[in-house]
Amino acid sequence: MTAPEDLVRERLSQALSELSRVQIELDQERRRRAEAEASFDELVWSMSDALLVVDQRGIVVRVNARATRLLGRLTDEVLGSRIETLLPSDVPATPWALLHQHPDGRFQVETSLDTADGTTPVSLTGAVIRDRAGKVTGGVYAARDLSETQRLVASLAEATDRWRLLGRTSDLVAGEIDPREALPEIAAEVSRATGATVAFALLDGVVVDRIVAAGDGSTAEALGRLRGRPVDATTAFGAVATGQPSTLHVPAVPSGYPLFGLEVETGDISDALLVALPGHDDVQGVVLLFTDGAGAVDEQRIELVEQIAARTGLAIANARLRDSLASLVADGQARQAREDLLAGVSHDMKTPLTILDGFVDQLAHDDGAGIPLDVLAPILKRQTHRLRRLVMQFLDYTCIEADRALSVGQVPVDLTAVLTDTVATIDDAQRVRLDLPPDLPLVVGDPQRLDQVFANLLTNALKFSPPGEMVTVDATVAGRTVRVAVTDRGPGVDPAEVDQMFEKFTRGAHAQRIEGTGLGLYVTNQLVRALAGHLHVEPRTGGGSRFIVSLPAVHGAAS
Amino acid sequence: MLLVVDDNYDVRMLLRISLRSAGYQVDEAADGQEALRCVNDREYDAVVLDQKMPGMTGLQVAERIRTTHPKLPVVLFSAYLDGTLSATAERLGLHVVTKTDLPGLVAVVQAAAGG
Repeated sequence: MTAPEDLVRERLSQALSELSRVQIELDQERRRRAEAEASFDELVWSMSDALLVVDQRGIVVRVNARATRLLGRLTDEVLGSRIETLLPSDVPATPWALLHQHPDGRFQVETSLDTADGTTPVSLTGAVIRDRAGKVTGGVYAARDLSETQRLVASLAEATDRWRLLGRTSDLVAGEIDPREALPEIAAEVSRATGATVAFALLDGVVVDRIVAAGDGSTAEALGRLRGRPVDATTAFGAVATGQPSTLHVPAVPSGYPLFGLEVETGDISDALLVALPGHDDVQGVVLLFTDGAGAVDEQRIELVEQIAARTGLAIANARLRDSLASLVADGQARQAREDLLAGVSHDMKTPLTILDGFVDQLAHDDGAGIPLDVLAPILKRQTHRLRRLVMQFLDYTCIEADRALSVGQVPVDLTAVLTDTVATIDDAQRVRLDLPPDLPLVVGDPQRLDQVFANLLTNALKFSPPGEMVTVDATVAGRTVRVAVTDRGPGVDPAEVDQMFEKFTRGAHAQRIEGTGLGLYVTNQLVRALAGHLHVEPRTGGGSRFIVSLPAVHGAAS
Repeated sequence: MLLVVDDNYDVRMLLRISLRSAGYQVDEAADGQEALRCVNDREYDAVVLDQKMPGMTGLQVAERIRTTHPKLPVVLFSAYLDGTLSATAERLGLHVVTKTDLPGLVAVVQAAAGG
């Protein structure tokens, strides 16, 4: 049997144990809450966003360093102030107002804050804070400084531009394209990347040889007028162009400042930069940069422009070197060709002159005795013809060089008579076989010019034929065209050389051992063209070549 | 008796007439092969050779003549007289004359052939 005191004692004991359990739970709860608050504070402080925590009335109870920095105030100034004094008026200033406007309890808006630096663009997020029971106990506002992001985006874009520009200018140095042709594009890119008016001025000695500008219209236009003007060595432009220093930066250009000796309206210009385009051991020109915003030319941009200038300058120096090398080579080739021509023609003239001279001497000393006229006459005719052809060839060449038309007659010509005479008046005539049809129609042409054409072709054919091999001349009629072919058993024409055979001073691989000016075929081809004809060459079956001259038959004469 | 070797008929004609009026009898050849045949067939007082001919050059003909007729005087005439040509000609013991110097040629032939 249990006494009532025992029952009470038992109840009390249970209650005490219950109480101690609750106390333990409470302690644990308190600790958890303290930890939670501590970690919340830690979170608030470490957030990269500016954070403001408010109570139910909209009074700031917590703030992080980011927020005080952004707002430009002390923590004590911010704590206890009403949130509406810190945020724009269109932002809900209490948790209740927030919940009223945004039933889901949160909002996000891009706005701007009055800050230490003036106005700062921010992304502002707000949310209500509830307790475990769901009761609204306060609110939190987070502001992210967008100017930072905008700067990041801008610098990212600039870095991209930078790399593209540097890559582009490196391509120029590699010599794939002519850097001078790429200057407008580079100027435009630099202008876009820096927001400045940009000009590349190339110098030829001390004269602005070429100027390419991009950017602000009137400044670019003024820069354009510098072309052809000498740079004044006393101005900054001249100083850079003649060596030192290689970069000049004039920040905050005063009104009326002589901008590197340029007649540029300085009213709108706040900043000017001039960087030399360095060549191998000289200055190729300058890059000029003009901005109309303060501080737009910063260290980074100067560095960018310097890097571009270094690459562009080198590329231009290389391109100029290549140009002058090419023109030197071309000059040298042309001079050599003319010298060879003169030497060739004067050499070719020596033989007929010596022969004529010799016979004249013999005739003078021996009264012509012992030299039968039928021997003498053909020799004199051959050698005077040879001289005449050489002189004509030389005159024709000078004519062609001076871009004057070759003078040719346009009369009916009996080709058989011309060819017979030509063959009779070339050296080695006994090695030529004339094989002409009896009814060859007259052609339109010039007998002396045609003699020149065939004498050239025959002389060539004989020169390249092995001794004892005959050269043949035959003719065919096709419609209104007469084709005369000179066929030899020489080494033939390399198909790869056919196209350039009729060019000036071209000599086939086989011709290297054989004397000649390299002009014969060129002049011959020009002559045939002047005669409204056509000259071409084809390989001969069994070795050798066929040079074919097509000439217009006299109208109505063709059969 | 002289042998004149030149591929150009007009030059051969001129040499024949000039040398004949200087008192020589003249044979002619139009190329190197023909010249070598003549040298083997007949006794000459001198050979007058053009340097530039199709086929064998004058120097090549002279070299062949030297192997069979080391004492036969050879007069080489050429449009160009460069160092290499002069050196080879000297080694072979040839007389060299420029092509434009006809009186010179006759004088050299007279000295070489005697007469």
